[in-house]
Amino acid sequence: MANSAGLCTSFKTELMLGGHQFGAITLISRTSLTAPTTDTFKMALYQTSATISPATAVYTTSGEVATAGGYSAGGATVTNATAPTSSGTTAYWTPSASVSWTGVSFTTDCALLYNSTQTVASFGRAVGSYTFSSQTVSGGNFTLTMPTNAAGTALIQIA
Amino acid sequence: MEIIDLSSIVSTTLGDIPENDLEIVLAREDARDTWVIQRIFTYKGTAYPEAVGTVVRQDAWVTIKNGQGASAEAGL
Repeated sequence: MANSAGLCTSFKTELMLGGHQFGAITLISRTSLTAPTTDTFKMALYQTSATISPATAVYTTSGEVATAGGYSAGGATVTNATAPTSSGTTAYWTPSASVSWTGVSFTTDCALLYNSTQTVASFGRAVGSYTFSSQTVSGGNFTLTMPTNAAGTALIQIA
Repeated sequence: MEIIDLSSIVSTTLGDIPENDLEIVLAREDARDTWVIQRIFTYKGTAYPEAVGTVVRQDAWVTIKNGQGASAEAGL
């Protein structure tokens, strides 16, 4: 069997587990240095006029749908019951439940996943932006259903 | 005593409305990375004549079919 080049799959998974540190970063304490606690992740919704993108570094209230009814600024905590894992050469992670808001009225076309534990000047570090066709909800419910947690479909993938 | 079937009552911007007074339309949109279902309730009852024909509730379900990837392929 010949040698081959590439990032190790275990490394890709460990990136999501916080297992490697190549440079300095200011973190909010995860309590233990050897068995750190899991961060909390949240999903916020944005109006169609907002400018959320992969260039977004931290959660922002700018352009977020208004706090009213069942929606509060900052969005909702995602359920994280399944640790990052891998299949083939792809590491991946997906929230383990849908995110729902009830009794809300807004128009949105974007959700921002961010780390609400690890913050910069109190704003959570951004993870990913997810867009969809503009959706208007009026006095109703909005549900964001997560993809299948697998290589090729998971919410976060390092291939 | 009148028996009210609460399962047929819908919370709307007009308040709680019997489902029979609402026209319900489902719309589905399938895109590359998402698919969406919209449920739109339009009032058709008699208690609020000024609201007949207006949308009194909209729900949306957005399903992310494919998440976002960070490529780390060899070859650079």
